[in-house]
Amino acid sequence: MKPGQGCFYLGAYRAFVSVKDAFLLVHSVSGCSWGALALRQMGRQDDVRQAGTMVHEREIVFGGEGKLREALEILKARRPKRVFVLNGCPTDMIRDDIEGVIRQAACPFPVHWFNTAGYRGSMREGYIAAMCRLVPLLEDGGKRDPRAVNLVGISADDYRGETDLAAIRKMLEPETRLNAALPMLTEEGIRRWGEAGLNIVFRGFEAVGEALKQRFGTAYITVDYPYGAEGSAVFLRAVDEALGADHGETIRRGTEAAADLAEKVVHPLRLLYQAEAAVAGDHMRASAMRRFLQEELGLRIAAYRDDLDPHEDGERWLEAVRDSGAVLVFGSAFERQLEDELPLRLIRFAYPVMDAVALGYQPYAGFDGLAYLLSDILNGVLAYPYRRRGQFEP
Amino acid sequence: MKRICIYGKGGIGKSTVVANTAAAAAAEGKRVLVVGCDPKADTTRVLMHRTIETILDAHTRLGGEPPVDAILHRGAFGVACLESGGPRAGEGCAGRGIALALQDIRDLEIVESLQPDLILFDVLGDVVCGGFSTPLRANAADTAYIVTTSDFMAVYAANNIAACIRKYAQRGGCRLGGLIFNARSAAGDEAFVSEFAGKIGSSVVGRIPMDRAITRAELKRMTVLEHAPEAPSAQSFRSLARHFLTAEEGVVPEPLDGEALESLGDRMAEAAFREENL
Repeated sequence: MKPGQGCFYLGAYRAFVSVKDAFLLVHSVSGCSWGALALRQMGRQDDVRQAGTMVHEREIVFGGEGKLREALEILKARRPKRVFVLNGCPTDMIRDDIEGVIRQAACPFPVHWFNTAGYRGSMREGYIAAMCRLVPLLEDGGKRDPRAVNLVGISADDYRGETDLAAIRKMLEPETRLNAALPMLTEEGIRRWGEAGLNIVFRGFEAVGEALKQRFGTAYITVDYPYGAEGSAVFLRAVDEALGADHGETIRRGTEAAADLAEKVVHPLRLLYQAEAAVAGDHMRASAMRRFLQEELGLRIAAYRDDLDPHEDGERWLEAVRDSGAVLVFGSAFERQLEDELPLRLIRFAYPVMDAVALGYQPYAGFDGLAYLLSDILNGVLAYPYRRRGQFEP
Repeated sequence: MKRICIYGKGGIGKSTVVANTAAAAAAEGKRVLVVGCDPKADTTRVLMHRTIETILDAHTRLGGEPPVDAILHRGAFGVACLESGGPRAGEGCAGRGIALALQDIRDLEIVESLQPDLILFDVLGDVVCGGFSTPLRANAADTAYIVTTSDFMAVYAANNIAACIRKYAQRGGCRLGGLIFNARSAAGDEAFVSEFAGKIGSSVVGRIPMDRAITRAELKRMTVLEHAPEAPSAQSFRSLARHFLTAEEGVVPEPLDGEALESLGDRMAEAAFREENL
């Protein structure tokens, strides 16, 4: 784990907080609880389902089991549908018997503990491990529906996660039915997970696809995040190939709409050819964004990093951006400093984004997402400081 | 002022050595402070003839740093007693507890106000607990002694402790003062302990004989110096206390490597089997 990579706990948190109506109990010091909350402060503020045991020095010395016991008693009165107990590094180091406390508490609702001590790995590893931990909770559901698919990889904490999911659902239906998403599960999704005939797994989450295959025997395909018209078409063709479905009409309409869009903004679009850009983010989004920018818009990617590379070095990436002529940076709120430092624009697309909102239906993914993504990219280029000075200043 | 840590495998007799040498030094008119650094909080039991409230318990009870008189007690022969305390077995972190207790001792300037001639830290036996090295790491003590019997596992632990002392000796002023041989083991052969001590560059500086007076005194929650002042063990504790007060600086030990230690163990085993056959 390196600075800036996040920790195992934060990754696991992202997965568990995505399970709708589930309650998260963070058994750790206040920093873990508030840190996770801070990273999702622009998430659904009407949907905060979290508490922390707020372990202090006293609990580190004498053990924190009492506080956990007390927290579970308080939760009993609130009757949540299910509770995920996450622990931080300190409560793992002092080896609180979390499992024993949960068993003794005999809560009238399911309580699941997962050892999420931060030092167990990177945020990416925590996210994947937590999704795998959710797999045993999923149920067979009713009859198999060969037209139904499940989607693996989008978290409720992702910037535009919900709206991207809605756009992907819109692309998939009615030829196929989006049955459930992991980790963005509902209680119904948990019950009906096994009904799907195919699991669509975003690149980098193959381990979750394998775990699901072992649990339900369901085949899975690995796809790239569907940015752009070509990215969306490739996504749908992969689904068609696996399921024998036909999204040909959706692809035709989507491609036509993309061409119409391009015609409307042909002049600023030309500005993008061979312009330099930098990309940083989680592998699922960053790799797909890189492809979209290079292949569909003709940008040159001067600096790239994603969390799949265990030797990922944020500092090296920053240096590469500084040495480049990048006019756009695609990243998270953590890349904001570059906007202050260099004459470029930041397009927020990767976790975490704490300094922007995308209200309503404003996806970046799918055919519908192209208009929003392209608008933000072009607005970024049009607002580029050097260009502004060139046009309006002597 | 001599600041001494007593180390050794769990149950080897560290608290017995600390309590009785403290009593012996105090009986000769020295100002002595004993700090129990073990969550069991039993170091000062025989000096106080009862268990005392620990620093951490007082901290919890009072919701903050306790006043000195809540944690500092006077025991046999006027020995000043402190117990760090800590969690129950299997819970929390004893190491962090000991570190906090030592912090309180520093903040309350207990050492500065008592001006003791001798401070004895009784350290828990678990070499992999963070609390184990806290007195050395926190620079609260400058000489360490290791209590051992002639059992191989006790010597094995002593070797580990020597490695730890060496580590802190290299970055600070801490030294190994010597080994204290506790002859309570039935098959006790001091020769092996002396050999081990020599090989790590140290020596045996004290010998505690097998003496039922120790057991009886502890059952009565007393030091041997109170319960049986003429017992052979009482004489040993007096002699060891004098050593603590007068000894020159110790050494930086050279712990044995695994092979040398195993070889010593083999010879100890041979001797033990030979004795059994006889």
